[in-house]
Amino acid sequence: MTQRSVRNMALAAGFLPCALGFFSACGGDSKSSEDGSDSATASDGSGGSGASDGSNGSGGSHGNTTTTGSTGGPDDLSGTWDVIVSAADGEAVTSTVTLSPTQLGVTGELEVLALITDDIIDIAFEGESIRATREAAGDMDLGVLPLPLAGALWFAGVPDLNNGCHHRLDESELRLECTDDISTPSEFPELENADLTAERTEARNSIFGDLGGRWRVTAQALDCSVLFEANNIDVDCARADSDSGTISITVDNGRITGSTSGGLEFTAQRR
Amino acid sequence: MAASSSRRSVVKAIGLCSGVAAASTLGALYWMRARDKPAALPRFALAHGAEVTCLPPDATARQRELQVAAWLAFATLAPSAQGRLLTALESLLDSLEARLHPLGVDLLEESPEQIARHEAPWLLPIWTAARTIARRCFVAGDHSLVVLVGGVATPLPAAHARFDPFDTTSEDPKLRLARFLCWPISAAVRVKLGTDPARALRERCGAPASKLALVIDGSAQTVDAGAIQRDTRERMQALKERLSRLVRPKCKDCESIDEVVSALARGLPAAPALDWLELGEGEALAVPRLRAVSERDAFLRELEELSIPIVAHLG
Repeated sequence: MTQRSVRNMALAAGFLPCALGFFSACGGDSKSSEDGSDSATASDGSGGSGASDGSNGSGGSHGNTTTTGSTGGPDDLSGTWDVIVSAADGEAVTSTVTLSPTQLGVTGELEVLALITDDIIDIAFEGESIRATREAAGDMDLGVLPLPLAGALWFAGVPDLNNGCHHRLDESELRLECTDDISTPSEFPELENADLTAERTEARNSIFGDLGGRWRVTAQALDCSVLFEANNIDVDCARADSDSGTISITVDNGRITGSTSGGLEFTAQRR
Repeated sequence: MAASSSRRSVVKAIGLCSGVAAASTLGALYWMRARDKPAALPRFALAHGAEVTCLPPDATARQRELQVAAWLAFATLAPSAQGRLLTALESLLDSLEARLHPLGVDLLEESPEQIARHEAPWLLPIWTAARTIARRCFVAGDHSLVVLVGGVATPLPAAHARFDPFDTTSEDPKLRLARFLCWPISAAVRVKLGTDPARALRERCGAPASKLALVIDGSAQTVDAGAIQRDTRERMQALKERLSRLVRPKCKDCESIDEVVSALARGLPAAPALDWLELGEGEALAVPRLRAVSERDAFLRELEELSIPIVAHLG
């Protein structure tokens, strides 16, 4: 299968710590690589100042507690991260990600801002917005992930809140069911009519808490094994109509590094 | 959507292969040699603030970036890897020419997509490092800091603070971020190369599991195409002629390919390839892959296993 498909399905599963900026890490087919533009490419050497819409540099605030049990302490992934991701055309694109229990912001090629409370997550991107409304609380320990992804959430586009995706995550299962079209950033998979199930088949010790262990992720024509163990995440996917693909991610001492079997790479460094 | 994505991946991968091959092909034609003495270090500066950014390079600067990247990537490859790349390109061109011809039939066992997919795992990390090290500006995603690379024709702005990317002693957050952004420069090490270790090092660069991306030695710096084997140059010449005849479709997804091929059609970059780099006799710059930037010990261990002595950082 294509690397994009591997990444996309892993993203859809919610297993990869996309909240950490793997929005862009998983976006090898980003718009920048499509059109060849790159705001980070070399200038003639005289550059250094110019217009920028960079915003949202703040982060790391610790406001409301969440329903997941994550506290956003110094031992989790909260903070500001600089991320470099390679694309299929060899461009290396930079992003900055701010993460806390109450906020997720991505600036760079992809601009995303999510404001998080106990019951509502508002996500803005590319002039659109999505609202996630909590349907059920979860007491799952997500380890270093400071985001309230456990429990049940209803993701829907704003203002039409009737179409969207049901998300439910506990220690043994993840379900993602999308009833109709829902807008996603262009680097994200289309979730239209998605129906994805992940079952935890064995437990392992992991910095990702109750996510630790092996998960089997299945969706239409897709079969993945996702292993959370220690500080590593290993994804191995196969799809009926294409080749298999793998993703490996390691979180270590303020750095996150990863690569795909297709030659894409990424690294992140905490500020 | 999936089909569109697949097409994009294919054309990009083809562009990648085409670019590297075209550069090396042109190397056989131009035989450029260094005349300029490498400039003195340091040639780096940084600026930080609320809205700093990299200005888009003009057409000439962009062309040089691509030329330098393609040259460094191909010059890094061991002869066997160069041959593998050329074979893949020949197959790609066979297939593309057959598909583009109104009466053509593609009889190859592998599609262009499959060929590109097979070659990307070992080639893409090399190409990524080559494209990045050829840049003259690196910017943080939030535009809070930029690193500039000066050159003979591109002096650094006087107002910008000078920056030594090879000084790893400072834990100043800005310097740490600056080093991270220009990773192929700051994480590279200068090594001493004998003939056999050089061969082993180049072969290792082509291994998907390796931490190594590029080996930039004297012949790469001086853009010496004569360092490439004769039969390889002949294959490159033939490929270059076929590439120049290839009709590149006009489409959004194909701009990147068109840019690479058009830039390289103008020839190899003037020497030195990296005007901030000064190498001593028998020395080379070993550049890690992006994913190995945070695995410095493993990167150095790989050099040690190949009995490659590390001279020093460049600073």
